[in-house]
Formats: sequence, structure tokens, C-alpha cells
Amino acid sequence: MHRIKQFVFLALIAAALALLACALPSHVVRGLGTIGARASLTLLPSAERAFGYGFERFDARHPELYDVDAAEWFYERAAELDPALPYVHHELSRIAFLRGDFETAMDHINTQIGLFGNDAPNSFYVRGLIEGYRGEYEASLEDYEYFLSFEPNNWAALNDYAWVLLKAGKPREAVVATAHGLSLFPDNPWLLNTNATGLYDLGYYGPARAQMAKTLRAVSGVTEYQWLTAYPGNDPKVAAEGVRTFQEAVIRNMHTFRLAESKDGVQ
Amino acid sequence: MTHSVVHRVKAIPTRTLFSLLILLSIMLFALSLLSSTGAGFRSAELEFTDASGKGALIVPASCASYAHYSGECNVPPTPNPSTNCGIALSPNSISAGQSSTLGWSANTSYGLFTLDSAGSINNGIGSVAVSGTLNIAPSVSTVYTYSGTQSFLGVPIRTFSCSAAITVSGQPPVEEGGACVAGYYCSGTDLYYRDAACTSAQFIQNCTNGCSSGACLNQPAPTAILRVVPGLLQAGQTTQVQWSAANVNATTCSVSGTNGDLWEDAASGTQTSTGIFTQTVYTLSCTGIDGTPVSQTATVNILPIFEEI
Repeated sequence: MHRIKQFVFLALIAAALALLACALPSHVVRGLGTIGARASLTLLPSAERAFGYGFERFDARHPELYDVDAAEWFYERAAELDPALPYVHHELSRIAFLRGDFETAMDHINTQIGLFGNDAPNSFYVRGLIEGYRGEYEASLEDYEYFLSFEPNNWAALNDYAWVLLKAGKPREAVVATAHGLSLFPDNPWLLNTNATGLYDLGYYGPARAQMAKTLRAVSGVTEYQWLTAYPGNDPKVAAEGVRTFQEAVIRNMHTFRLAESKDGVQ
Repeated sequence: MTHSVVHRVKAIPTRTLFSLLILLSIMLFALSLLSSTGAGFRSAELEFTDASGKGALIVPASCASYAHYSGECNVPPTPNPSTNCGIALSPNSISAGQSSTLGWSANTSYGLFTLDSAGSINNGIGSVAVSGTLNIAPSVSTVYTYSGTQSFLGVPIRTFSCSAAITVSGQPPVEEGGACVAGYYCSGTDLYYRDAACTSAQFIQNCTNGCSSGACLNQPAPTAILRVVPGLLQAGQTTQVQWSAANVNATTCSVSGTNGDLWEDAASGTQTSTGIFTQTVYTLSCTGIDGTPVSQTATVNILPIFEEI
């Protein structure tokens, strides 16, 4: 009888633990999952599996798994196991970029491009992004132009290319680049905002203000999912704030353009 | 075997089992505290804007940086199918007035347990069961999205979202031999995107200037003409200001004179100036439908007055 009680007691403990695990908050389950993944890698090392574990933790479209620290750990393990694994340095570059460590980001993306070059054209896009953030506008222009030769209708590349053109003092080229994008995506708020900014920098305050009004309408409908698609690799928890930052920038531009237009009219 | 297991179990005191249970609970609670949700990872992109030459704020994106990127930024952002649900239309391409069958289901498995699932479908369908079918007859190309939340014992565990598109009055062209290549195609003036299996087509947009070879035709550049008739007159007389602009947004057009004349929001027109006493320059400016500016000027001169000495 005592033995039966012992078995029943153990069974109850196991059931209680299982219920407790399932009722845990998602971040705890995520943590336990990462521990399990690390353990399996320790037992059976595999660069591809490490990359897979990192990939699923660096994808905002699986918010229950998102963990940039864990993703970085898995990608670093993958790079240790196979330094020539496709995209591993691309991903480490993206993580370093998002952390604001642009020097490390450049090292990784240059390694990626050195290994795979045109096999991964969007690595040139990432490098253009890093160079833009570092203020290296001429180099950034080259990389964006190169990526656009593969993806001429990529709205984000057209928008970012125009950003760097504006920073390089080429607003007319920026207007033309975004106008091409708007012919395909007429309601894209990023393209509208950059196009309007180009018109403003050219001194066409009336048209710039009219275009920014259209931007204001478009940006009001940006969802968190759309923001996470525009900024992959970012934490879903901050998507709402990201959308607000974008909307506030557009509102501020609208005020600036109205003021400039009214002053221009007085003159 | 059973006897040896029982013998080992018998060796564990009840007090030890209780202690083990308490220790496990403390560990899980500590893990819960250590693995706190926090405010989220704040990347360098989150608040980044960059000032243009005149101080306007530019907002770059990074859509194409996604690894294994496969064209997400060549189409407007759409919800991404989740592995926890499925939705399909049969057929997924119909003519106006025809109907199709919409089917959906959600995966409720969660380890050894089954989750409670609450979902709905957009476009007026509303709350639906975990799985089912429905006859639909949309009048325009539509994307149906099945989404919801799944929970266990009242605790939300995960969300799901998946979509399927149906095209109306549009058919994905079939390549020779039945092969299909993912890409854009035109149906009249409408632009569509089909997947590599030719089982799903998504309406992208109507092309204002026509559609050809899987792309909207570019909007033409703006043009403008401005005349003043007459261009030479005596002081105090008036002139006719005539203008016409094509491929522009009319609300962006304005004609202004250095004498203060101003006419707005018309791509073409004829107006009589106020009295002109000095050389006056009229300027027509508009924004083209392609986003580029266009402008023209015309000058009115005053006849000199000669007085006999």
C-alpha cells in the first residue's frame, strides 16, 4: 500500500510540474526552450541547427520566440562550427547593426560579401544601410545602386537610396527615385515622406506640403505588423513605439513645410 | 524490473519528495523573475530619423535586410501565414458573379494538450469555429485573413494569422507545359502577383496609366505652357494670362505675378490681370502626377512713354 502511495505521489508531482510548465508566461517557456536548444547543441553540435535556432529567435513574425540575445548566441555558435555557413555573418551583422555597433556590423557584412557576393544581393543592401548610419554616403550610394540593379522595384531600397541621396546633397535624384517607387506603391508612407522631403529641399514648398499631407494620411494606417515588415529583426514589443516615432516625424515635417510655404508666400 | 524500481522508490522518504517539490517550485519562480518580459529590445533603428539639407526628417527602412529575403519589399506588406493555422479558397480565381469555397482550420495542439482557440475571419464573416467551410462570392479581388488567439486554462499562449487571396475577373496565366513562375502579371489595367505554384494570386493595384509585362506603366512627366496676351502694353492696361499644364495634380498648380495676381488649384485657365504699371513676371508652377515639379514664366513689358520736349 505504501508503495502504491509512493507511485501515486510521484505521478501527482509529475502532473503538477507539467501543469505548472504549461501555465508559465510565454517568456519563461521561451527561456526553457532556449535552454533545451542549447543543451541539444552541446550534445549534438550542428551549424545548420544552430543557425535554425537563431533564425527562429530573430524573426518578429514569431513574437513568442523573439530573443535577440539568444539569437546572437546561436548564430555565433553556428559561425564557430562553420565560418562559411551562408548568411550567418549577414545575420550577425544585422544584430550588431541593431545594437548600434556599426564597426562590428561592417566586419561581419564584409565577411559575408567576401564569401558569397552576388549570391546574397541583399547583403549589399545591409552594407548600404550600415554605411548610411555611419555617414559614409558615397559608399552607401554605391551599395544601394548595386542592390537596386537586382531589385529595381524594392520600395525600401528606393526609399533608403533616396535618403542617402538627400544626405549627399542630391534632392532632385531623390525625388526621381522615390517617384519611381510611388508609381508602384502610391500609398507607401516611407516613399511619400522621402519624396516630399526632396521637393522641400528643392524649394517647392507648395508641392512638398501637398505630398506631406498625403503622407500624413498614409502613415496613420501603418500597423505594427507593417512596421515589423519594414524593420525586420526588431522586437515586436517596441513596434507600437516605432509606428509612433514614424508618425511623429511626419507630423513634424508637415508643420515645417506649412511654415516654409507661408513664409515663402509672404516673400 | 518492477520489484527493483519499487525497491528504489521505497528508499526515497516522503520528506525528500516534498523538499524536491518545493525546490522545483522555487527554481521555476526564480526563472520567471530572471526571464522577465522587460520593455523590449530597443534597436538603433527604433527612433532613428535623419535631417535633410533643409532640416526635414527622413525615415529610412530596412525591409530587404531579412535573411533569405524573397521579395517581401516588392509587394505591399501583407500578413504572413502562421504555422498554427491554414486557410484556402477553392477555386481561388473566379469571374464576377461566381462563388468559391473558403476553408480554414487552426492547429490547437500544444504538446500533450489542446488549446482553446478563438478566431475570426475578416470581410464581414466574423467569429468562426476552429475549422470550417463557407461559400463566398466576392465582387472584387479580396484577401481573407483568419486570425485569433489560443489559450490554455484561460492563459493566452499564442496568436495565429493566415491569409488567402481570391482574384475576381483575373486569371493567372499558365506557362507552356504547365510550368509556373512566381511574379507579376497584368489583367487589363490591374496588376497581380502569383506564387510559384499558380494556386494563389494577389491583386496588387489598378494601374492608372495601364499595365504591361507585369508592371504598371510609369506616369508621364508633367508639361506646362504659359502665355500673356498681349505681352507689351501701356501702363495701367491689363493682359490675358493663359496657362495649361498636363499630367499634373491640379490642386498643386498656381499662377502668380510679381504684381500680386494669384490663381490657384487649376491646371488650365485664362484670367485677366489687374492693371499693370511695371514689368511683371507671371510664373506657373505645378507638381506632376509622377511627383516631379514643372514651371513656366511669362513676362509683360510696359511701352515707354515719349514726351515731346
